[in-house]
Amino acid sequence: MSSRGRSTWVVVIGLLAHSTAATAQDVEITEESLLAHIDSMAPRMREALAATQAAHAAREKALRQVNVATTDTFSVGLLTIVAPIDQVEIAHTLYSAVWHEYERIVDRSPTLDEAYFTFQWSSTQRGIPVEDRPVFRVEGRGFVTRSGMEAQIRLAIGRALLGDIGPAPASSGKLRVTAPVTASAFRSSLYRHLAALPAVGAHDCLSGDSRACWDMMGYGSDWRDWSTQVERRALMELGYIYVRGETGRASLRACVWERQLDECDAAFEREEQRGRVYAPLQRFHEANISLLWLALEEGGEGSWGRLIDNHHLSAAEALSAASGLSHDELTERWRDFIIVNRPRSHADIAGSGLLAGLWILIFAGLAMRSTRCRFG
Amino acid sequence: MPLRMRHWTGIVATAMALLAIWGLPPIASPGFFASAPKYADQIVSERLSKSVMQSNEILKRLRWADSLTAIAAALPPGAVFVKTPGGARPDDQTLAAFHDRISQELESGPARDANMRLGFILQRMTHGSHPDVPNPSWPMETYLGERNGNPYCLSVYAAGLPRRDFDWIFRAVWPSNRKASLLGQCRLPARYGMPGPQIMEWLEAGGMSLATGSAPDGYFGPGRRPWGAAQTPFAMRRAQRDQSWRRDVDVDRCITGDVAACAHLLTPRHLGRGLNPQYQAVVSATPLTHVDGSRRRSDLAFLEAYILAQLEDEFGSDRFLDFWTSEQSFEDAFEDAFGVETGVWMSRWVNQWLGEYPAGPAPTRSAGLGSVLLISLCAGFAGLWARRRKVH
Repeated sequence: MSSRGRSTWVVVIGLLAHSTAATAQDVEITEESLLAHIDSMAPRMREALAATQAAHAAREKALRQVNVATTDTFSVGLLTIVAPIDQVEIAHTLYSAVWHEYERIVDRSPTLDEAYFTFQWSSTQRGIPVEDRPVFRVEGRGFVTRSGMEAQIRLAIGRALLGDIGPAPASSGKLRVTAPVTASAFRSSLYRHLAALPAVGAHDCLSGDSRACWDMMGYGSDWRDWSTQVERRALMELGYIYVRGETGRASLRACVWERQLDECDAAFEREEQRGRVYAPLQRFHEANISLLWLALEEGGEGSWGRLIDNHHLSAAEALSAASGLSHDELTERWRDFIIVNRPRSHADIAGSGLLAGLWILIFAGLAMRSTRCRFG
Repeated sequence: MPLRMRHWTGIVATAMALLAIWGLPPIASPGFFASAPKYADQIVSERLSKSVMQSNEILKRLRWADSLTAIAAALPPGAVFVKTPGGARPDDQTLAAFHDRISQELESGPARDANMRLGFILQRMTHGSHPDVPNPSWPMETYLGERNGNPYCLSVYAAGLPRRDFDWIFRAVWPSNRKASLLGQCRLPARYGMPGPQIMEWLEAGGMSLATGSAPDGYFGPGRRPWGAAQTPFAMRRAQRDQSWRRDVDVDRCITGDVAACAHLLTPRHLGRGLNPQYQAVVSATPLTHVDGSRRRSDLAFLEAYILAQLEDEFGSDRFLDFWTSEQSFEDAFEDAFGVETGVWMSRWVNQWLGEYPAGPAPTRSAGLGSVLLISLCAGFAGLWARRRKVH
């Protein structure tokens, strides 16, 4: 390195360390000197980086070899589970509790027959080697709650069941299996969403028109028959259409900001030709998940088997086959399910106030009372 | 046996210890709370990367400044130009709307400087880079200067491509973003031209971070506060209390009324303290004037961005022009143009936006008064209680 290059390098380091103190006016930094510095330093940088990565990989490998759990394999229903020996009992308990929710409806599943589920619930995570099989890992640190671990197991089973449906074009995006619809927040969100959706079809669905529900889910005829132009603009503003490219952005601008309603319809038309527009309720994943789970519950024993036998026809056919109900009956039950889980409309201010008042009275009563436990 | 005070204390302490033990993970795994020790090679590679990347950033700015200022200087006086790399060019409609917004901003307020060339450049982050060095994204950069006697102010946003991030600048023309200023740090140069040489030095040393905020009409009027300002005197005081342990001592002194400390808040030494040293090193070594968003620490609740806009609003554009174009140092130009010392004005500013706070450990007036009232109330209550229980 030339003496000029070296001095520039020192200057750059100096600038880095004490940037506010140093000023560029003190030295001349030219393109040539900077390039010389980079060229001289870059190989050393790459060597050091490669050495770091090698050392890191070696340490990881050593850790993996040392930190492998001794495992045991057992079955719960259709599930095959691998867990460290010291956690087999708790793994069995949790998997059994969760599988109980599925066992009535899932009588057979090619993916579950193949897959392994792991389990680990500890602050010290160890390696659980599973080779040559699809694996769904349920691994939580020691501070994760019991219900948190159960939720992870539900998600893992849901992901595995999705493998049975596969990427069939007729049903993709509609048959979503994640977990049984148990959480109350999840259930109540359905009503909120439907009530707030800017489309007359959604409100008709809530009012009891099962054909509106079916169409708005994207299973029946054109959902646009259940909405006005202004509503379709609102849907576009809410992001119900995924625009891309210059044309898409121009449409979005014209439709949303300049309120050219014909542009909104043209944009929907264009996206539909590309197979990208979904019906408003279909874009709402909770609606798909709840409808599917309801169909499976209504179908009872063996409903999952019937669903995977028919899913290649269409999502609607698969749901009917699984539930054993007609489209109208299924949507009627789904609507009832949503209405039953309608959230409480008030904010519970009175309840909280009463509770706070009660505690104040209890503490005031204790404070007024002479007690042997008082201070002093 | 009745439980006494010491028993209760023991019970509470034991319960707290048990809770603490219960809350700990059974075995703290290595690396969970503390990162693993670094290898010697890792330390070397990090240091070298930092140095090489810094050199590369300087190299790029030297090249960008050379080519971009040549484009600006070749334009007619007062021109506004937008430059985007291939593949990121917005559609004509968006571009027209962008130019409209710039024109609207330039036409509002005092007349603009007729000579100043304005440029909005979207740049590939890798443009002009050494091929072997990684290129991180930077925030918006401002280049303010003259070339062949032609003044220019360029806003350069560099990011990786292809990506949609460049859209953000054009999204500013959407009706929902009407309030955002597109001119940014070029707003003042666009109106008042090139600053005086010593003011320019002050801007480069960190003063430009006071010119980031723009002020729509009536922004500093009664009842209006910039984003980030505490909304009530109580909230101001609470913010003061919450920040006092980590705030610069000069700000504390200024809040308590020390005018010399207030003046210090506007000096390059103080302004540069909160700026990102990585960016400032490049600013010092290249024609780059400022990197927007380089202020990573603020003792003034990030409200300093509005200081120059407030001066313009408070004293009017003629006096601001005197200040901006003055040949004198920052302090002298400020005093001559606005008729007030920097420290005095800054003291007023701090009191306006951050509130007043008494010096020393004494409680505030309201806290003292509240305490006296509470003690009186308790004493009165105790007196009444004692009188009621008295046995005759």
